Amino acid sequence: MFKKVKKINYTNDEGQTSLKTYKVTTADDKILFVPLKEENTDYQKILEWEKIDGNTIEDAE
Amino acid sequence: MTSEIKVDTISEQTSANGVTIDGLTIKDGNIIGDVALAGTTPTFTIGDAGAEDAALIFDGNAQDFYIALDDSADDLLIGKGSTVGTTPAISIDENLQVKIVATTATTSTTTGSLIAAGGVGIAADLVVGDDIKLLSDAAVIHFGADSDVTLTHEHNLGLIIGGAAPTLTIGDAGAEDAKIVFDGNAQDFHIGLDDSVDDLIIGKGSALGTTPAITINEDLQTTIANHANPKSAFRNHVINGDFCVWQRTASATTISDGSNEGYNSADRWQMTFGSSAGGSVVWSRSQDVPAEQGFEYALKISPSATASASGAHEVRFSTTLEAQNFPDLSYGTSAAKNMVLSFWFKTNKVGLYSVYFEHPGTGTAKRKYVTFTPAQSDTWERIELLVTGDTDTAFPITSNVRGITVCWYLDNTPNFDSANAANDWGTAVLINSSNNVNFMDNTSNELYITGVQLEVADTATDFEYLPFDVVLNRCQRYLQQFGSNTISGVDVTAGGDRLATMMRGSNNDTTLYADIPLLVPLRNTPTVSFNAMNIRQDATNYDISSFDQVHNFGGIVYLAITASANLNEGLAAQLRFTGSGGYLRMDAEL
Repeated sequence: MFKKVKKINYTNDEGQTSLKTYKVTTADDKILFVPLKEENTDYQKILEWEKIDGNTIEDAE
Repeated sequence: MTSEIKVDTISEQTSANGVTIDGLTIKDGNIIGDVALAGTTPTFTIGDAGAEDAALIFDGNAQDFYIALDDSADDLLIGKGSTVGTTPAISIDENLQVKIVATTATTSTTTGSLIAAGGVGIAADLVVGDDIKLLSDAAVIHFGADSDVTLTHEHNLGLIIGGAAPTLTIGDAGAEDAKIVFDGNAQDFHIGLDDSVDDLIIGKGSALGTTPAITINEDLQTTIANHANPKSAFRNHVINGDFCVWQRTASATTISDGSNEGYNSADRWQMTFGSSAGGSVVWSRSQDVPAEQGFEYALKISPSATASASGAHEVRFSTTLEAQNFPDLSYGTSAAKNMVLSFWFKTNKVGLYSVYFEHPGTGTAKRKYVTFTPAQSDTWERIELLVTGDTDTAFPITSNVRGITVCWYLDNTPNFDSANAANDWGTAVLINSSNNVNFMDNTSNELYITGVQLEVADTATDFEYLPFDVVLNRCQRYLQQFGSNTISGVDVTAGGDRLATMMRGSNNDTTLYADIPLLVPLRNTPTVSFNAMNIRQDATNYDISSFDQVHNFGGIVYLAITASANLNEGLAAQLRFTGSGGYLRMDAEL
């Protein structure tokens, strides 16, 4: 479970309808692929992170 | 010359003086003066074998006594007064039975019908109609010709059976029940032999067999009526409480805010620097463990950069336990059960430490903390903390989400602390004591912890050791790491080790699909990360761009992997480790 985010990207350019994972780059540059599943605690953190002003999920790299 | 006077009658010459013969005066039937019977066999006979009583009367000033033959009963009597047989004290019959007639009760050594200032010896049986009292402390009853068995009074405590092999036998091999009853104030219990079925029974009440708790039959099969046994298997809700599983790494790991934070080395344990708290710590797997307790490893934590308590800063390590593993708490009811947290702890930073508990409640988290203070510096000791049940609020126990979280605080959190040594379950955000020691104030501080156990109980039991493979299996519900893994002994040292064979997708030239068999089903769909891996097809290597899809099928995780460039159609591809430390990690931690 990650603690601090540097950035979050979509993993493809097909839009959120077919999106299955987020790519999370943590503050210490670890790369995580987080499924969009409610019981995944990393996904729960992404939802909380996204609510903070200024935090935006970026396009796929 | 010997003289002899023979007369029929000698009468006094002058009135009132009687007759004196060699100093002995006889007057009116009385002998006046001391009389002694002398000679070789002096004998004084009262009576002439006639059928009449004979008595010796002691005519006292205030009280007369007599010694007499009651001829009608053929008893010798010693009694009070002068009338034979009316108030006897002692009687001896023709069979030489001696009777003490008085019925005076006794409560001391100086009262009763018979008082002996010294000892009393009795050669045969002693039958007592009522109580026996041994009035001295440590009084002893000896048994046996050589007093080989003793029953000794222990002041204010009870009795001790002494001897070479003290044995208390209840029963005489007869066909009848035998038992010991413990007569309590509110509740009796008993231990007994139910002879009709040859069972030993421990039960409630005093009636053998009616409310048995434990029954042992002649084949030593044991039946427990109500198996609320604190030593039941898997009573420890903490997984990897003895820190034997370190799948990610067993190397020392430096942790600070945003760096290696969270789960980093020891399975099921994480470190948090909340609200951007400063400082850093090093986690390491230590073999400094409590002596003779059976532990192999402990978690060692030591600051590598100091910090002071401030605002909402939190510095803590914790473990989070899955909700559905707590079906036995009965939270939210008056029957809410207590838990006990126990663990071995050693530190050179002695002071008050807070342990925080949280459960999700029904939407708003419930919080509680307790505290402890190690007794000595640098000394292993077992800490036991009672965690009273939450009678107000339950939490869903049928799901795979967070249940109970347990946190050890290494500093207080000024915005959310309390001066109280403990706070019971509540929704207020009070997470530690304002008197919490600042473990982070010196890089020479260190703490060790192992044997962590959280059990539903009122008192702690010994740490529950589980086989290593069982602990590993339980940890792998939350994390599975293929490739380099401290536990499995696998260390990828060279490139080319293949994990899986994949096929290219039909509608995307860069996407491949792989099924990864799981060791045990993961808690949920995992977060995927990797190190030193790539894709190889037809002698060409491709980097991994992303894991676009992660699907948890229970025993298999299905991955959609995007390569850095298009792959050839119709050829299989390999998912490979490329070098030292390569791994594919699936993380379903709480």
